[in-house]
Amino acid sequence: MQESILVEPDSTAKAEWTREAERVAFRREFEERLSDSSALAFRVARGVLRNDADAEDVAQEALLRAFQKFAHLRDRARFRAWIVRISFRLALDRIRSVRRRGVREAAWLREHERTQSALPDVSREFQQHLERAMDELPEKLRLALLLSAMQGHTFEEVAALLALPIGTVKSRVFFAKKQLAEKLRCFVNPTNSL
Amino acid sequence: MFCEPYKQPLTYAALGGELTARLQEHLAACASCRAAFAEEQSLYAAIDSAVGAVANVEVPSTLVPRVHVALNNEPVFGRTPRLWIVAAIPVLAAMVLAFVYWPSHNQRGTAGREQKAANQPGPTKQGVPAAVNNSYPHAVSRERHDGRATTVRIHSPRAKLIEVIVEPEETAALLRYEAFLRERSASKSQFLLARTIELPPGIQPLEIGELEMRDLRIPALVKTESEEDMK
Repeated sequence: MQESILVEPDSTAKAEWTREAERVAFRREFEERLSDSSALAFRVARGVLRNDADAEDVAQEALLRAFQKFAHLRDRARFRAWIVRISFRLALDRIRSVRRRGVREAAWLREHERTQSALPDVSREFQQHLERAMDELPEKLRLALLLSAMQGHTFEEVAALLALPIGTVKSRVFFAKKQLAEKLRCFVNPTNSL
Repeated sequence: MFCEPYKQPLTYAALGGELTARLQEHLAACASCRAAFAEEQSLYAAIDSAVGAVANVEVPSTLVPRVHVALNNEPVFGRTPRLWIVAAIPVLAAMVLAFVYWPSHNQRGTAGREQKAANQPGPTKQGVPAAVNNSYPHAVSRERHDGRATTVRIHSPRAKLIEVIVEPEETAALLRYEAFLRERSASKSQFLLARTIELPPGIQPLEIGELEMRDLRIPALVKTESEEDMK
């Protein structure tokens, strides 16, 4: 008669299994957030950098940093806000380092943008003026404007992402648009708007 | 241009704010404000559209796979060693080395002074003998002893300041060896300087007189010689 014996695992094996289970759960939890946060990270970076390749690099770096620090994030519900901040900061760092590297690469970037754009000439010109004007906006106003312009973001959601009162977000968006309007007024013909 | 009293509210309304009944009445009555309001609305619409284009660019399909690959290369739990830990390791190692070697360095620094003190008779300033016995410069002396290790210096004219770091467990053995060397040196000196030794009372020193040379006559040998003579 065959006898089966259940051997109770020792504490080391138990600890190893527990660690492995925690690791898998941790990875799964992060990947659930990754699917909808990657687009957010990319768009925030792209809004600052105006270059797809750089924005992709920055978004990847932001998501990796978020993964590295994910275990230390106390309020997991604030993950998207966290990603926005990381991505925005990294994008600003990147664009500053690019500026430091010199005019040659900036010229390459502008040429790259020009060839990448698929808009008609008039719209493309206005777009370039707008992006330049956005670069000159204060960081707070720029981020609020970008997030509010992203599809599906209400003022409440932007306020949650930035951990600000809704009134502050509305005010920032208002002043950002007003500053842009002052700079772009001369480029807009009411009969030829986008 | 807007009429001055309506400038602010109409600008706000063009940005998407509320267009009140009072403003609507004014716009209906004022052609200039109506045109300006249309321009403003057009401007903000263009800005909204352009900002929307910037903010809603298509996400590259390669982004998520790239992140997955990068995540797979991350260590377990994504926790990399903190920078301050990495930076602290060499500093800690240097501190440990400095702590271990500090006594010997300290001693080396004062070696010249101690060497001079060892060559002079009498105790040093601190009352601690610099060497066990100045008469025996080859003797081993214990000069420093702390909780961890004992450093022993051998004063030798051939090898200057040889330093030996001894574990606390070996201290007793080394001290015994030191005593042994001291005794041996002392007995050797006593042997060489035997004439100067004062003997205890009642014991006279052995005196050897003149030696007398005599033939060694062994009977067996004598007998053998006489028999050969007879033959």
